Amino acid sequence: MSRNDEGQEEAFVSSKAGKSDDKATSTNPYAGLVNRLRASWLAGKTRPIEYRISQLEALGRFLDEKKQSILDVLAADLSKPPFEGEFSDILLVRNEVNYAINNLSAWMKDEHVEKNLVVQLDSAFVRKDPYGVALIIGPWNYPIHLLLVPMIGAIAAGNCVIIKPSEISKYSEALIAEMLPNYLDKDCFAVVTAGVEETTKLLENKFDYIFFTGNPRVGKIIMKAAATHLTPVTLELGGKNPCYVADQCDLQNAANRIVWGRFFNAGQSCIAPDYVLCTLETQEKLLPVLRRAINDFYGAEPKESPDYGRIINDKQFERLRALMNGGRVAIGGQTDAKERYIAPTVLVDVSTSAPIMQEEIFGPILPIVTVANLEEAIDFINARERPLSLYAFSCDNKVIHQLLDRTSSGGFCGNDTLMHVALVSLPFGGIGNSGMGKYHGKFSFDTFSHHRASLLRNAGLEAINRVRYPPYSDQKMALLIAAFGVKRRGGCTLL
Amino acid sequence: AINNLSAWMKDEHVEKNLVVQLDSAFVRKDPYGVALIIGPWNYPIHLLLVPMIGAIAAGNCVIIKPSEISKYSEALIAEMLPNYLDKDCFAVVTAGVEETTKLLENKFDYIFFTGNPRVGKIIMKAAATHLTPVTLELGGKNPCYVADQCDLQNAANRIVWGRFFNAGQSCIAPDYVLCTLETQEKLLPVLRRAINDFYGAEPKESPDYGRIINDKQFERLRALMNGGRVAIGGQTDAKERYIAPTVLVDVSTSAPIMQEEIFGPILPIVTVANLEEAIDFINARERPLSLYAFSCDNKVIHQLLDRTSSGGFCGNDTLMHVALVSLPFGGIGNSGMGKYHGKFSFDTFSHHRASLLRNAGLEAINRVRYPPYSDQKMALQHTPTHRLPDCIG
Repeated sequence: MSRNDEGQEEAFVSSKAGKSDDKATSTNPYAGLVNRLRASWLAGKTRPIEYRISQLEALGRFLDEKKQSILDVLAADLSKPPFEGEFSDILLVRNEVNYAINNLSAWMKDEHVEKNLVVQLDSAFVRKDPYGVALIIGPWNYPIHLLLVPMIGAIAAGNCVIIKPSEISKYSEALIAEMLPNYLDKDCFAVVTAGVEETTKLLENKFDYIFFTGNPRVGKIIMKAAATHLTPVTLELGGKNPCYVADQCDLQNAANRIVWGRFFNAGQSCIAPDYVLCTLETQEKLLPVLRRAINDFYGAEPKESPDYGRIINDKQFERLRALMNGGRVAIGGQTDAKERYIAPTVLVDVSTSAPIMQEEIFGPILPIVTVANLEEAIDFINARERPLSLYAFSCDNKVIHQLLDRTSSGGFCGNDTLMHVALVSLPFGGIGNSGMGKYHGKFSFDTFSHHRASLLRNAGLEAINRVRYPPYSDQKMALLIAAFGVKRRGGCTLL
Repeated sequence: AINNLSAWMKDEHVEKNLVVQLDSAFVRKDPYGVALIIGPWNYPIHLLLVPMIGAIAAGNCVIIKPSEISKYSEALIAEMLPNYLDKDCFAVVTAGVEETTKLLENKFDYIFFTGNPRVGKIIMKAAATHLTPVTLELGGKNPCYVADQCDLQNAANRIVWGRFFNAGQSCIAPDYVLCTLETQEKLLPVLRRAINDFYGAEPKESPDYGRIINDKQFERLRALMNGGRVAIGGQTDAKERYIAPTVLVDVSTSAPIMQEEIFGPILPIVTVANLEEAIDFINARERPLSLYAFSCDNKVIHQLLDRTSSGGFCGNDTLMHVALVSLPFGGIGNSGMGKYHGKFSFDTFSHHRASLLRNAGLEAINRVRYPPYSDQKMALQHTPTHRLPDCIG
C-alpha cells in the first residue's frame, strides 16, 4: 500500500471524492468524507429495512468469503490459533449478523406505550431514528470482531458508518481497508486507516455517534473530543478484572476455566481474569491444578503448541516481561523475544504496589493475591477502579451472591470466565474506568438509535384541552389532577 | 417510581442459548454511586427533583445543585429539602459559575445536566476527565410547522399555550412557526384571538401570565424583537420584566432571533413555499429538542416525523409529549443526549450489569472450547451459540 504526500493510505477511499479546497483538506483531510456520508444519510439512503438487511448480508458474505484471509491476518498479527480466530472473530460476529437480520423488523417498529387518560385517543410511541454518521474505532486484540460487531448495530439502526481499524494490528487493518469496501455501499460506509495523529484530525469532525474500544487513557481523549460537538459516545475500556476463588470450590474446574479465560489470545482480552484473589491455603491448592490445566491445554511446551498465541508487538512484549518482576514465578515465566512468546505464567508473592497490580496486564501472566477471607477480598476489589468483568468461583451460592451484591463491575460471571459476553441477550459494557454504554444483540441497535418520543394528537376535540388553558381556576386544576395524576398505589382509594 | 420500583429493581432474566441453558442469566440493576444533578432556572423545582427521583430510585447518593439564577427557589431547596432527606446520602450545593467549576473537578459516578448547549459541552468535557457518564438535557430552536390544511383556531390555541406558558421560558416551547404566506395571514387573527382568550386584552394585568427571570434575559429578548416586524404584542416593561405575548412576521433568517433559542414570549413566523422547503429548512439546522407539526392530513404529519430528526415529536399539539411518563424525554445532537421520565429515569441512573451464574460442575460440556483445538470441537461450536434462522423450525 503506498502513501500519498499527506501520509494517507491509498486504501482510504474518499480523499479523492472530497470537495474541500486545499487549505481545508490539509487542516481537515476527512471533511469531504464525513460530508459525503452525512449527505447520504440526509438523503434517506439507509432508512429502508431492505437496504440495511442487504448491507448486513453483505457483511455476512465478507465473513464467509474472506474467512481464510481473516484467519491469516489474525495469525500474522497475533499468531492467533485458527480455532480461536474462527470462534471470536468469525463465529461470534456471524451470530450477531444473523441475530440482527432475524430481529431487525421487530427492533425498527414504533414502540407503542402505555397512555394516560389525557392521551387515550392519541397515538403515543417511541420512534427508532438513526443518529446519522457514526464513527467506530477498533482495537488490535480482536481486530475484526471489535470493529464489526459495533458496526452491525450501527448499520441495523440506519446510520452511515466510518470504521477505523487499529494500526497496531496492521495485517487485519489492511484486510479491512482493502476488502470490506467491496462489500458495502461506498456512499454510506467507509474505512479510514489512521495513526494517532490522523485519528486526532478525524476526531475534529462532527460525528453523530462515536463508539470506541480501547484503553481508559485514550477513552478520555475520545470523550473530550466528542464533547466539543456534543456527540454521544460508547466507550468500551478496560481494567483489572478480579477473579475470586473461594476455599470451598471445585478447584480443578475453576482452574480450567480460569486458565482458558486468562490465556485465550495469549491473555490479550479486555475481559480476561486479570488476577486471582484467594486465601494462602487455597493458593497452595490452586497452583497444582492450574499447572495441570495449562499442561492439558498447551502441553509441556506451550511454545510448541499450535493453540497458543503470541504478543502483538515488541512494545507490549517488553512491557509484559517487565511486569513479571512484581512477584515470584510459580508457573511458566519463560519468554522468547524473537517470537514475542511469553509462557502461560502464574505469579505468587505479588506486591500490590508493583506495576503488575497497577495496570491492566493484558497478557498471559496471572498474579495471585492472597487475602484472609471474603470480606478482605471484597474490600480489596472496592478500593480499586471498577472493572469490566468480575469473576467468582465457589460451590456456595451465597458466596457468589455476596460478591455480586457488594461490588460494582461492568459484568459478572460466577464459576466461569468470559462466557457472560457470549450471550447476545446480555448487555456488554463497562462502568466507571472500564467504560460507559453497552452493546451486543439488541443493545447494539438501541445504542446506535435515538429513541424519539412521538405523540400524534387529534386536530379537533379542543374541548378537552380547555382545562389546561388560561384563564386558570381551581376547578381546572382539580380536573387536571384527576386527568394527569399518578396515584400512589396501595392507598385507601375508592375504585 | 414508588409504585413501580420493586419491578424496576428486579433482576431481568434473559433469553438463553443452548450453552447456558442450565445457568442463570440476568441483568442486575446497580446504582452508579454518587450522582450530580445540575438544575436550570426555568422550572427550578421540577428539573432538579424529577432527575433526582430517578437517581434515588436507582440507589445512588445524590448531590443537587439548583440554579443560582432562580435565587428564591435555590434558597428554598437549600434550606428546606435537606430536612426531608437523609443527610448521609443526599446534599444540596449552592454554587455560582466559579464554584460549579470547582465542584466539577471532583469525580462523580453520573452527571445529569439541564441547561444550554454551550454549558453542556463544558460539563461533558469535565466529565471526560473522570470517564463519568452524562445525560445532557439541552435546547435549541423547536420548529412548529403549520400546514395549509389545518384547524387553525385549534392550532393557534395549542401553539399559544405552548409558547407563552411560563412566559416562553421552556426548553420544549415552539420556538418559531413555519408556514406559507397564505397560512400566515390566516394564522395571525386566530393567534390574536387565542392570546386574548387566555390573557385578556391586557396580558400585563392577567394573573395567569409570567415574567422574565432577570434583567439580562429581558434585555436579550427585547433586542431579539428587532429581527422582524411586530404583528401582535411587542409591548415591554423593564420594571416588571414584562414582555407581551408577541408574534413577529417578516423575519430575517440571519437575524439573531433566528440564530439562538428564543426562550421567551416571542413567536416569529418564517414563511416557506411548501412542506418540502419547511423540511429542508429544519434539516439545515441543529436538531431540536422538540418538533411540532399541525395538519389535518396525517400524511403531512408523518412526512415531518419521517424526514426530520429531533429529541421528541408532537403532532397537532405542543409540550404534551413530555407529560406522558411512558415516553422518554431527551434531545439529540445539539439538543442533548440521554433520556429520562418514568422508568427511563431509573434506567438512566442505573448500570445494567450482565450477570451469568454458571454451574461449578458439568465440566464435560466446557471441554469443547478448551485446547487442544480440533476440527471436531469447532464443528460442535457452530451449533450451540448459532441462532438458527426463522425458517428452520
